[in-house]
Amino acid sequence: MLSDFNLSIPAKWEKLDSVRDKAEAFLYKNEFNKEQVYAMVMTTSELAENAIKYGDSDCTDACVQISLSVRTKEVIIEVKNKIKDINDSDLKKLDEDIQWIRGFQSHYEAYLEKIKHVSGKSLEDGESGLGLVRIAYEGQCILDFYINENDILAMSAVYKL
Amino acid sequence: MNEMETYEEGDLKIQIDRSDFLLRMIWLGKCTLKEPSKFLDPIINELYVESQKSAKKLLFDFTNFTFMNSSAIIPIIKTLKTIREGRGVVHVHYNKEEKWQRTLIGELRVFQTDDSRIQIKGV
Repeated sequence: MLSDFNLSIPAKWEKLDSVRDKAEAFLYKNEFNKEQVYAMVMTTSELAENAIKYGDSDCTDACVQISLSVRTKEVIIEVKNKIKDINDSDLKKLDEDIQWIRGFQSHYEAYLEKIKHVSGKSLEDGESGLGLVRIAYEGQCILDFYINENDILAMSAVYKL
Repeated sequence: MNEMETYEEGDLKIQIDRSDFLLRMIWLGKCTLKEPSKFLDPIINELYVESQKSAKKLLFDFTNFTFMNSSAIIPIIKTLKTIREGRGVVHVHYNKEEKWQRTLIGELRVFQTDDSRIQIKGV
């Protein structure tokens, strides 16, 4: 069972509906059940939201690339976007957030801890890091990222089958 | 007949159902807003103040809700925290048949209080 889905969109929030719809159609076509589809669409959506929120907003072409790769034992969800600045504080926070999640033996514990953290902070939308924890806990995905030589950030979430 | 008020933004629809003892905030559709707090905070704050003045219970009803991004849960978390540390009663109903609701909303039971002022319940 090998199948791939690729989509490129401009960094525009209003394009996210079509990302969710197309990812959902692709996953149902690959005969995943409702709960699996929900988890992977949610994960795709959260990663794409982050790419648009924190990526290079000057990029107007198809600069957010989304892929879902169905493999025998896993589905790899990857979202790539151009970053504004390699030294951007958002990237440092992204690294810290992922390391923080990895520090928990259970993603459930990480989620509860993040809820408590969010409740006690005066945060603007999107600054919470809740989306990544949700991907790990609710989406049951393993998160990772890298930045290539062209300042492209690639965030991946691996959903085990 | 209860008085019903409706707010809409994008694919999100919020209905407020007022009865003698209850202010029911019904979440419908899906919330994929970029900054959901801008839309939700004024509605929730107004309901919170009204519930305090009228001594009515607040109910967040998610049972027919289909999707929410992670930003949308922040106003809910903050409301639970405020009520937990202050006064008022808020109950949260989620659809226990939906896995995403059990995991995302059901785990808000971390805010539940022993005196049932805050209850998180799958229905």
